[in-house]
Amino acid sequence: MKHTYDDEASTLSDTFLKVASIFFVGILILAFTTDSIATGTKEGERAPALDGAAYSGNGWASFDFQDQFDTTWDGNVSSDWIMIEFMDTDCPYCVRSADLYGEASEAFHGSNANWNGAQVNFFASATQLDIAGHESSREEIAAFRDKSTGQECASADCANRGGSAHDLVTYIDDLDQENMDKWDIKGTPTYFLIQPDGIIAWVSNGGTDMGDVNNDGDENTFIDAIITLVTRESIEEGA
Amino acid sequence: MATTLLLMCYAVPILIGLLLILPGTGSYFTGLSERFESLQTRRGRLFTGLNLTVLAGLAVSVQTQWIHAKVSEGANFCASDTIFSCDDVIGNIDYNTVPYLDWPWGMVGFVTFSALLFMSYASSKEPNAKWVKNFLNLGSLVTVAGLGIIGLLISYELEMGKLCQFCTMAHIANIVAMAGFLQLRSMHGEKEWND
Repeated sequence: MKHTYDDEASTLSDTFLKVASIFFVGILILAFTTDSIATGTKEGERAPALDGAAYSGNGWASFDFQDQFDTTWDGNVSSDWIMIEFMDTDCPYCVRSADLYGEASEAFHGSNANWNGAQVNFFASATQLDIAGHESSREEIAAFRDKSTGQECASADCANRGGSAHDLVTYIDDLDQENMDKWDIKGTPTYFLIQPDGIIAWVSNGGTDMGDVNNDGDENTFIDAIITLVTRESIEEGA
Repeated sequence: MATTLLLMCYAVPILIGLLLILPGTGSYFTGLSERFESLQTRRGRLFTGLNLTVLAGLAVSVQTQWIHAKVSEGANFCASDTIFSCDDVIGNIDYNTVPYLDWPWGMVGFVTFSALLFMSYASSKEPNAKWVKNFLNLGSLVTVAGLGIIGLLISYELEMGKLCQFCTMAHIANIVAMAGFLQLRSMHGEKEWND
């Protein structure tokens, strides 16, 4: 029986094997020496960027979300956590939850002696939903935050919303919906609790559905998420 | 310092590759050509330079993908307050992946340089095979298309005001490889090919 040896095919297969070997060595180096974390808006993923000017009571200023993170966080209680609400100042549910959000921003602040956990910094990314009657502006966002008069929030004067002024909440201008799209927000309000290292610890289901934070079968609020997940002094001492 | 040394490890083979690929540099390799026969001919020098450059491009792409993964973990590798800060460039989630596809640029380079290495190495082993012309055409096309990607990534760097040294090294490898593929492509079928 006569055998025909194809030199050209042999060269291709030999080369393929050699290059494939180099490729897999590269893959193995990456697999064994790194533990990549995807950027996204699911729990366990790294929070995407949040762009836009911010308002903390003293005019609108540029804002870098990445500055909020401590990439070397090792689980200690001294680094700040982040709670962010995606909202619309004309969304009735957002107006109704403003009271609780403001209270929470004070309750989980480092200045509250009764809170033994890490400080939680509160943010709100204010958008303008594509719904009739939801026309918004920076003036309206500022009025919502400061609870000042002269602007209309959900068909009422912003000064009439529940709760006090959100002195500890930073509002971010997302009127162009850029952040909302990037964070894949399906409804307002949607809440994210973010660890000091920028990893999302908890996300609400969007709208009025807050989801079950502690797996007890009951629907919870973002406050339950903070109490359940944020680093506490007592937990550290007990560990 | 360690970053500079590492960068040199990638720069040296690319520089040697460039010297082999550049016309009129044959005399520099006369001494070596006695030991390495492939360096005696222009075609041999071009293939050797191309293989060396593409291999270095592959290695530096793995490095950028590694930095991408490390930065995503929250670690620092080459963060700096100066213009040279690959962590800031590779770690910028607005620009560090292919638009719409979300593939890290390092992985794109890794796969592309692997394909280029396959084409250049196979062609160098069997230069008169019938598929060599196709490989040289495809290699030229891929590396020329790479110029568009390089332009896009440089525009990102300008926007950020930061420069990623390792990414730049991969870009240089692509440009040198393009010069090699184009010269081999024009030489293929000519008398010089079989000299």
